[in-house]
Amino acid sequence: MAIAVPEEERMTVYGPFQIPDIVPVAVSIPLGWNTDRIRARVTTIGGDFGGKMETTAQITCLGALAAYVTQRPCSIVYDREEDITTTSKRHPSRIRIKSGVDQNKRIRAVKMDIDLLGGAYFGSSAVVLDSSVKMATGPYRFENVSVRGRALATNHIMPGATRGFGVVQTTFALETHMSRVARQLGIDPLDFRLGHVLKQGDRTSTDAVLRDQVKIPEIVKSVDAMSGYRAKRGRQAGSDATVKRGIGIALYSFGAPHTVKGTLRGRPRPLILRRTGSGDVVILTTITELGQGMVTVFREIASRILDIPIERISMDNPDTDRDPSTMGTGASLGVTLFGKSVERGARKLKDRWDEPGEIEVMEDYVEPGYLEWDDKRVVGDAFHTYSWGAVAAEVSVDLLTCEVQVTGVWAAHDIGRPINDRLAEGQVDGALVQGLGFGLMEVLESKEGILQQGRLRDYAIPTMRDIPAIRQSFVINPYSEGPFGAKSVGEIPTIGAAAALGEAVADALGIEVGRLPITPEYLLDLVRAKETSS
Amino acid sequence: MTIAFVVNGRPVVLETDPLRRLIDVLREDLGLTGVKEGCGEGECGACSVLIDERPALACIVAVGAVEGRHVVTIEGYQERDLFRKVASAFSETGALQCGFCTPGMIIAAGALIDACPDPDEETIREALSGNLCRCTGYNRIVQAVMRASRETKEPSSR
Repeated sequence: MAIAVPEEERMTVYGPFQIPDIVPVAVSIPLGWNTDRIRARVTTIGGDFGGKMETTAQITCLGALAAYVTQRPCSIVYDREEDITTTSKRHPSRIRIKSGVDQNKRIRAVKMDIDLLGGAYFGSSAVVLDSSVKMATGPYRFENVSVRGRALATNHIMPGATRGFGVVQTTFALETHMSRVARQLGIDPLDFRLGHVLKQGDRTSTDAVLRDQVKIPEIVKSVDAMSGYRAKRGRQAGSDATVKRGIGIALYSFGAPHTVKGTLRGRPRPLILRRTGSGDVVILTTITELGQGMVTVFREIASRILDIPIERISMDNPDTDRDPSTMGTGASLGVTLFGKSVERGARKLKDRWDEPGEIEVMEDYVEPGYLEWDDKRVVGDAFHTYSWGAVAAEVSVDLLTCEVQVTGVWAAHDIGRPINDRLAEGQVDGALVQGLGFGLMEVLESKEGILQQGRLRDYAIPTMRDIPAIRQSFVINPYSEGPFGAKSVGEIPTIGAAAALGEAVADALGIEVGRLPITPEYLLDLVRAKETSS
Repeated sequence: MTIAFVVNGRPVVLETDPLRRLIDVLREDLGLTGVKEGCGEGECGACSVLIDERPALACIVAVGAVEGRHVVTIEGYQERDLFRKVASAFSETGALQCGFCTPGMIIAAGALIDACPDPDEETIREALSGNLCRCTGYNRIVQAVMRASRETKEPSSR
């Protein structure tokens, strides 16, 4: 959706822009204008998950052209089919992993080959691939690592940045691989994986030293306590019933905020805190609220520092004429990085609180002092820090229909110290279900470049009935550089659900799952192949 | 042709094509933008309204079909005591994120509580399975509906 309103010598465009700052740049191209003649104002955005980053700017260009030609306000509204057909999706991928194991049954070397299908327009493919490659080895330490990542041009679905940012795919591949290797070695898959987990002081695949504690053992313990994973695992596959039950677990991590190489470095991204004459505080920024609770968290941070009620602090939808250019949000950086800017700005405001009239403080983000990154050699701190997690999924599989029903989901995460538990838990709930939808049912096929699932009746997402109650916990591990110890939560809970699901189905049926989503058709093939071979 | 019906307690008389979708009449002609269009084909529940007190999807109802009937949108629904209980349960439980599905979700939840004052989790998941939400994972929506149903059973003190 976009609305373009022509004005004398200028144009104002309205729409659900995840990154408002890129909209005047995009619109300036077809109009042949300077960017300062275009003002972008953000409407209430709604759920985004990466889909309103690039494509909203493209739609706005169409609206702006119509307004330019007619010299009247124009709106352009896509129906669901137009929206699904033209907006970006998660990158389809093919990932091959080979590892070398020594006599002590430990992986000594891993080789990963990652292909992302990039569509015809490369858009976000480079940054998504960057994240896939740098996070390829997940939460594990391998002495020798070789990763090749490619984004391939195709005439298929246009992919783009999508929640989980290229790590959902690599995590499914790696977790599935680790469990297969464990089974071949006759070791419990969870124990095998725990034996390879990174620890504080270890070096990541890009040779970054992990400065903070890695609490994967505590995370796994919490998931086990909630789910009864160890007691349930491998207990039900042998029964003769036509409904088989199984349970799986996945371990994962996500580097955030952002990749250090990315668009972040070398560009100021300030925000403003203004204390008005009446003593209220206004936060001005192009960081956007996408339903993730950013506005509440920013206001909460300022309220804690300034010691004034949260109702006295406001933050409106962005306006590129009014706000400093913070370049929107994305890649789980909002709270950790810019929440910290709010914290620092609020402290400065507090020092000057007794000054009369209006006070304004502009605050840019600050990278942690310890970061070292060599872009040529791809060595160093690829990310500021990491969030960590584990999720267990329990399923029942009907052997007559090959349908998988998720009967339990339990997750634990280390996101530092959450600022607002309720909002953080909401992020986890929603992300887990998106991950389950991706793993279980969300089929998107392209035939000769034409999308086969253009409507919600064909593109099935989880309903309330497809999903059980979710139980979760946070393992507290305060992050020294984040506001009140907070790390990132937006993307990480999406990452492991599909991998846990694959493991649960493998446990239930004694098979190996190698592809997502696990549709009844795919599962029927696996079951038949198993019957033929035995 | 002339179509007369009642919207949120007020009589409405329109000169319009009877085959227009009810959602378009509500949003475009009457400015009731709390009725959301998520799919346009009856799959997502975002456009849920009440027609003669029964939940219906405004995107697959022709306006000619509501001749002489009572339509309630979220704008009219919020005058009710039940709305206040459901909405406060949603807000206190954290049962919404972006909010797009919320009006339809609240109408559907209220209709469930009206029909079944003490729903268990399975009943809620079944009854609201026609209302899609991409953000919340549904966990807190189920909790909110349970909370609202408990509050409606207690004698109304607030």
